Amino acid sequence: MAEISDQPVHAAVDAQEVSAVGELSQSRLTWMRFRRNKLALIGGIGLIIMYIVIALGPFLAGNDRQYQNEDYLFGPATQITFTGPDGRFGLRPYIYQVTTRLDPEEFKFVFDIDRETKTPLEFFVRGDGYKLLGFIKGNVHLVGAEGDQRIYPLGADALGRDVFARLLSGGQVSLTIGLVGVALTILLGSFMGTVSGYFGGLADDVIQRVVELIMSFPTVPLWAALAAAMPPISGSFSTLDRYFLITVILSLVNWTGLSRQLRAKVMAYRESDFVMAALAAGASDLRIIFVHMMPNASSHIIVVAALSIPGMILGETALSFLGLGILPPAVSWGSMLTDAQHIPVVLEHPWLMTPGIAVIIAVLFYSFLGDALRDAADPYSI
Amino acid sequence: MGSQTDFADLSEDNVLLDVQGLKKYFPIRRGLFQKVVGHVKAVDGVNFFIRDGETLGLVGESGCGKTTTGRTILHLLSPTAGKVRFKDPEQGWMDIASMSRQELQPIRRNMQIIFQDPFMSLNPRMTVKRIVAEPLIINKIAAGQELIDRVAEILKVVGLRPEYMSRYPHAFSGGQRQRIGIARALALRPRLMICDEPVSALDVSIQAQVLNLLEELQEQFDLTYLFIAHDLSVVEHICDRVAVMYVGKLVEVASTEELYYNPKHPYTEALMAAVPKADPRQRDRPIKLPGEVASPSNPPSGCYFHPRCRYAKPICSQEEPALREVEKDHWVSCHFAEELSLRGVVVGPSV
Amino acid sequence: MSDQVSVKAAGSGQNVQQPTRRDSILDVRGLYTYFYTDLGVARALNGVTYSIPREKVLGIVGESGCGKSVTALSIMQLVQPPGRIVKGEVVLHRQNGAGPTDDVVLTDLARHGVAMRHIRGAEIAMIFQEPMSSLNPLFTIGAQIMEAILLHQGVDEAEARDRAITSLDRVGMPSPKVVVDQYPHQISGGMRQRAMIALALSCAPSLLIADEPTTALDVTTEAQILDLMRTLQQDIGMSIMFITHDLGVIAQTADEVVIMYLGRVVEQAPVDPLFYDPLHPYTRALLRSIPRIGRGIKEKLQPIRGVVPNPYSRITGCPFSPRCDSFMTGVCNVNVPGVTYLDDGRAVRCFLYSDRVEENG
Repeated sequence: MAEISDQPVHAAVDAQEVSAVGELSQSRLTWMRFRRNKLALIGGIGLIIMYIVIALGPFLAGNDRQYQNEDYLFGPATQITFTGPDGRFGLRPYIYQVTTRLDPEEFKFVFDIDRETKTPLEFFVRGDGYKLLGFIKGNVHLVGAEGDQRIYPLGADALGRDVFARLLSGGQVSLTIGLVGVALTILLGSFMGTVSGYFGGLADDVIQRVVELIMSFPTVPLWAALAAAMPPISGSFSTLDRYFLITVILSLVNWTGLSRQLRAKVMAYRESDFVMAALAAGASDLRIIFVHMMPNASSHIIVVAALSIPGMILGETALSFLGLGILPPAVSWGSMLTDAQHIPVVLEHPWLMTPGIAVIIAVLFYSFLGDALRDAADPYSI
Repeated sequence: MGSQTDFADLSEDNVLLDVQGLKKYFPIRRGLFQKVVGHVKAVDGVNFFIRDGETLGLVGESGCGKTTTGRTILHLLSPTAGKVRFKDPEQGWMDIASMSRQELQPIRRNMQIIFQDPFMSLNPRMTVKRIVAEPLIINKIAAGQELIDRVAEILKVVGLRPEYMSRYPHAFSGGQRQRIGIARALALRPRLMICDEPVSALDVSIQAQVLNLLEELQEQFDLTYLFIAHDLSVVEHICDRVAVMYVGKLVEVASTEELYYNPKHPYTEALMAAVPKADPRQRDRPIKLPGEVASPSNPPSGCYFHPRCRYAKPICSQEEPALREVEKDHWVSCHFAEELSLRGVVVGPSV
Repeated sequence: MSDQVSVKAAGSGQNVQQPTRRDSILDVRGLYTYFYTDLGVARALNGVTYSIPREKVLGIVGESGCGKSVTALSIMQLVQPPGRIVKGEVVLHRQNGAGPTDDVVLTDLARHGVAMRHIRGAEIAMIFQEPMSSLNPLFTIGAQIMEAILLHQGVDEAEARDRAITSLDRVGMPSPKVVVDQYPHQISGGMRQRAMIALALSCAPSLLIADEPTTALDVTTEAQILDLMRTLQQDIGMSIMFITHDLGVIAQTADEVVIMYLGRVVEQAPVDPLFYDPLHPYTRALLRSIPRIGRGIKEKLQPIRGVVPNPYSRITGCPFSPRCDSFMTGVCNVNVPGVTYLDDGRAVRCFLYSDRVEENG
């Protein structure tokens, strides 16, 4: 057998042109295209800000989320003015003194604002204690007032709790549940889809029938049934446990979509020439799946994952709204919305709807991200 | 007498691959429980052999089974029946068709394949270096720096600059990608190369580059080619012998010159007449073939070609002709091979 | 070179003056079509000029990236954004009976306008490479042909159906009355291509543009379709613009040939002189590099070195120069050659034949 010679067989090399973009891998190319999408930028930056804000939640809010202020039931948002006690407009913010009294005629609480008495706002004041991210202890808050006046940027709810503080705290649940759920979706969906598509036969038939069974259940009732079947909060079953079980329930339905799509992709790749080449070289099934197919499917998986996060957020919101998801003392945007069910209540106290706005914004941002990813993914792939 | 004839004299020292009665059927499933109601007989009893160092062309129109034959020989598709015997220099004759996946693993390096589509045949997520190195990694032939050196050598051999090995396939043109595919196939130093339409998807001016490359590599590395193609001009140029397939069966096998200028099967005659010649002074009318190519899931009775053959007689619809040697090294499956005098390609003036 | 070399300006759009064609049905003059993409400007057509002779077949030959398909789309005003015709004109010489022709400047018409839509299908028809993706899989063959007839010929449905069947019969479709009610997936590739041709011919256009119509077909089917096109062309006196990369098909079908490279016409000639006396180095190299059946002897193929550059690149001088065997330093890599018009209907764009330089568009 002849040895490979030093001389190239062809002198055709000189006139060859190879495009410089060829040095970049698929991931880099995708990222470059993604970056150029304006909506993606809005969505991405918006989400980053949201996540930072909810992480710093207890620091940013003036009150502990559980603190019930009996004097401020359904209290409105605190008004801030920049006109000092001397009447001059300045840079320092002030709040008014607010007193609550019971109106005997309408039998409602009325909040009198004393526009003469102004208390300046201070930054970095000491207030209620908290644990940031669950383990950093502190009691400094970003904004506060002298004395025992409390600030309610978004008003208070039926039990006198700071809506803003609860919003930030609830965000910790609503915004992370999607991420955990999606991780489970990816794992389960990829595995099932790949096994189904690659091996075919009986495994494929069984898995597909299971998928179809799950998909034909009405989603919300299924979630509701599973959630209702969970044990009550007790010593052995904490809120955290409940939280994780909720994510499992949410992903239980979600993985089916991904598995079907991946099955189709794997079936297509199975017939493609580059997989045949690997087979011809003697590659094992495992190698073909993980080294050759998965990297090609990865962009697809990421896009599907990104686009299913909004669904998860909405799912958790729905469950908690129905009282089946996150239970007190934990709070999520959905559970906050249970207070906003009745129209008269909402008309009187519209700030109770803010969790809904938060959900909409989060879902929008994730949708922007997902759409942009989908458009950017795989400029040169199959 | 069936279509299975003992073809090659295997005691001949120079036969490398011997295919006997190769069949590949694809089941057709219908109904709720996916019952098998029939088969697409993509390859329906094919016999041929390839000599060491020669180029055998396999031609036919779409649906004739030539691509399936190539892949089945390599066991990329499992054969439904038949034998594929490969002569390993140390171990002698081995029947690949009946081997399991494990048994095949060490044998695979002897035969490799080049594909038609330069865009689908390379994994878009891998660098060129990785693509060419993959067979070496799978077979644990080299690693580390030695691996990189080997890849560089192979790339040079196929006419690509080794510096480009860190690039991804999308940076390259069709012709260059075919070279990468050839490099990958060469990495294991195979003896047999299945070339599945290697130039069909390339620009005309690049086809010549790749064809010349294939010819030079054949000489340099003692390669044997099974050249699957539908372009008869290309096949005439590169092949020593040619086999013609129609709906899963071989209808004629002969040396290139014999097949093109002295065909003995009516289908071959029609094929040769249909090729558009690059000579405006030779404008012939084609032979009109009525009807359409028969379906491999429901082929006609007797000789598959009889509904479209202008020489057909009653026996053609009743009895399937066997592939037999009517002249030295010229095999035809036609009842009237000896009587018909058919028109081959007319040699044109030198342009 | 003969004394009568007429060297005229070319490539500058409005004032192209090539020797007047005795009878052309369509003139393309100095056409520039660019695509503005994220990766840059792809100059698909760079001053393309040619004429389609009436009732004859003009073959357009080139490899990928030469612009042959884009020129067809430009004629039909089907170039989609981000591409557009930047400069140049396309003139259709409409013949109304025996009088002088009525010249319509297609490039002046609005792309989506009524006038252009009337011309598409009724006067200029187009067929494509992949019959499966050009025919709508949801409608029967008959329905698709009838759609065109109803659009352009103002007859009722029953009459349209009859005309559709006649159309299918004329293209040699077996059992036209059955096929008219079948769906594209029910018939073979060759039959689908016949259906496409029937669809294109249903409104009796004066010009048929065929973009690689036989490339996806088997050789026996291809031979039949080419034979069909030749017959039809002779019987109904239609002009055909036949785009392909296959020189064999060109030799069998074309009366005149245009060779394109990277968005420019590099040679134009009647088919016999093109094959027996090629002028442009690209044409010569192309003819030397293809395997030709029936030579009797096995010749070594001589490939054209290098690759076709991508359309985003800018090359100084003649675009073919990096690959040219007759490359002249200092000449070919400095300017783009202009078109040299020779007598007997030939044209070539090469410094071997004149010093003419292209005026930049």
